[in-house]
Amino acid sequence: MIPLMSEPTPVPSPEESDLVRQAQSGDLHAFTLLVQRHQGAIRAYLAVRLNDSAEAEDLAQDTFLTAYRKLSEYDPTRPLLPWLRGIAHRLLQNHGRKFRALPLGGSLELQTLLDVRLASEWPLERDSQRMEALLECLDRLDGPGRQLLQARYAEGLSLQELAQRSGRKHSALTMHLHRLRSTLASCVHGKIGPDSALPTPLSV
Amino acid sequence: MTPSTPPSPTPAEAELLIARVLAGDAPPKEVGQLAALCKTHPAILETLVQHTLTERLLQTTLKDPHGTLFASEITLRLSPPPIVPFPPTPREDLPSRVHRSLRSQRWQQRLLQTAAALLCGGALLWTLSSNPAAARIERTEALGALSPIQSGRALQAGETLRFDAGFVSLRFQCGAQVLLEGPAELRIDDAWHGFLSKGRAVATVGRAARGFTLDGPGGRLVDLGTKFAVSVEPQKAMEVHVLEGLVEATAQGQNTPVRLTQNQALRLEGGTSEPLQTTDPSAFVTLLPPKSSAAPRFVHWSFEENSTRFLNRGNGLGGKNGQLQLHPAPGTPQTSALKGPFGNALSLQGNGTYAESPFRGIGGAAPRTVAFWVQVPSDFDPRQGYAIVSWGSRMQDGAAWQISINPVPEEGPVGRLRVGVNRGPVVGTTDLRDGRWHHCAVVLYGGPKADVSTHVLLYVDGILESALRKAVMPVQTDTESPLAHGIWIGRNLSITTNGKGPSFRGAIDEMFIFDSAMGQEEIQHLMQHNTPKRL
Repeated sequence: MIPLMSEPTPVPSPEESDLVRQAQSGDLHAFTLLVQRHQGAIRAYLAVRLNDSAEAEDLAQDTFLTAYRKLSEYDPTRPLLPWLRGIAHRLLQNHGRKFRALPLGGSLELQTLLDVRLASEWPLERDSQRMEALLECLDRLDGPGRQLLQARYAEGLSLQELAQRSGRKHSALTMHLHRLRSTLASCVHGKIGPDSALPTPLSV
Repeated sequence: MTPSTPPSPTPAEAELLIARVLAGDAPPKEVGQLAALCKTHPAILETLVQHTLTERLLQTTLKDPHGTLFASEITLRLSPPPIVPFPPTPREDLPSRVHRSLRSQRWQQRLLQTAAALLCGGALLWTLSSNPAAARIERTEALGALSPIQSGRALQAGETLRFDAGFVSLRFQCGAQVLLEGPAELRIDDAWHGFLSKGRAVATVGRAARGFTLDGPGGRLVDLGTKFAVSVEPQKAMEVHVLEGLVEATAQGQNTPVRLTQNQALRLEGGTSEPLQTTDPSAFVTLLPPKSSAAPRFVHWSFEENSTRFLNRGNGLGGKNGQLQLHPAPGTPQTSALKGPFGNALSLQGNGTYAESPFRGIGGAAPRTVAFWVQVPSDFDPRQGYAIVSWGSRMQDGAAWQISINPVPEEGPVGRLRVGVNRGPVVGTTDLRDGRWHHCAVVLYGGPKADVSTHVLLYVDGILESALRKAVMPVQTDTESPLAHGIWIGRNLSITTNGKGPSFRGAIDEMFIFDSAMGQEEIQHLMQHNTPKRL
């Protein structure tokens, strides 16, 4: 499981403190504004650590629902995001105890290597930065590449279905997707910098 | 001893390996190779990590880039629940309304489960007073059942459905549809649960029925998605293939479920679960032939003509090539007409005479039904059993489509209806060697990988045959290659061009070839009326 790094504890904005107080008094609209403000960070935190996007979205939903139930226990003078991440982290731990996903390529060894690396400590805000950068990079991508990503990741089509739909070979689609991910990863790193103290990925 | 370091691949080789592993295309050897490289080459591990991170975030960002739907869902979930009118509106109404307003799969799932519970609860109260069935049979193409299996029959909780061959489609009260493939044994536990102790099944679980549970000797499957296939082998091992959506699988005696998503498969056996590297969901029949209102296209040779040329009385299949030409064997007397069940019939003497149509038949794994009347002499000679009707080629395994009277004892009882595809024949059980007319039909359920072991049904005199299936062999009928030829009647596919070799001795009448898979009811109608039911 990924350890939580200690983070600086910024003082919440007066506006956020007011929203929290309104939500504590039962104002659902105020809570919705808080969800809109922090959903990206929580969704990114969970998406990076789970290999099933539906599971990640599910836990992100549970994070905010749990937060709403426990809102009366929360001190509005403290920043909200670390508290939300703490809830998400506990839900993630519970999830890991209850369910085990199939390892990448069916190899426990490879999955363990990946998990250990993904558990490397980096600032938690990097997840949301990475997601925001990815969105910006996606905005610069159009044409067939964007359509392929949309079909694969938004519509959830399998490579087999994509091959049938496009008339392209399965292997060609595999490599096209791989190149698109490489391009996007480079673009993201260009915006937020490489993950510190890590080896430079391959370049082809 | 220091473990040896794997040789450094070129960057391009490493990228290819990563791409294949992430796409799920890599065989175990390549996956192991990548794992070894990741341990010794940090740059390769880092590349894999970056791709994994990007892929995970792409799934989240592209589905809901700015979290608008996500926030709306939170609001909806925290809002007071709507009042559901009672008695309930039709089952699909609320889920479909909710579906329109929501996008997140899990949130949909939870809310729909709640909605379904409300609706099922209402439906249950309604049904308790009039019909306590836990499930109901929707369609049947099965035989060998201890108790009658009829469409529409209600199945009570605790009742067990058993049959030897064919297919039964049933719907649980919760809405889950299960297509069983015989030999099968399924106990109906209640409106939401079944126990499959033998056979193969495909469960299609609508949104309202999520949570439908199928138990078996190997463990428990809970459907959280839309469609999964399961097989229970005689040795009690259980295999699950997720065709769509999400399934939770728990091995017998274990507490921790494994979640499987589309195209993942798992073997549950002896209290353990083991991922299957390769899945073949298309081996399962997922749908019985649709009862479409559209008429199927077909070829029909009635053999009424007292000549060497027979008209196609069908409705367009085969086009201009649909006629049939008789080729009498050189030096043999002209074949004679015989009275059949409907007018004249074609009588063949096993002397090399055969008929041929330029129409090349139905190719690939496309669905088809071949139906005809046949009279097999009681002094049947195995050398004269092959080739009542055939097309395709022997270019490769599975490329032929030949229906005959089985002449090979090693492949099944002699004298029974047989379908061969060039290896992997299916042989029926009714002995046709009695000199009487019998109606025969062979149905292939189409699909990307239709297989003789699972997708072919034989009917004799309108009754589904229990069939011997010795091989797993995909049907890929060859109608395109230069080796393929038109449809032959009475000629063995393996006969060389000089015409020498075994040919059929017996009589044939009312040959129909349809481009769809027909059900038992339609076959019986054809047998009785000599015309398709839908016309």
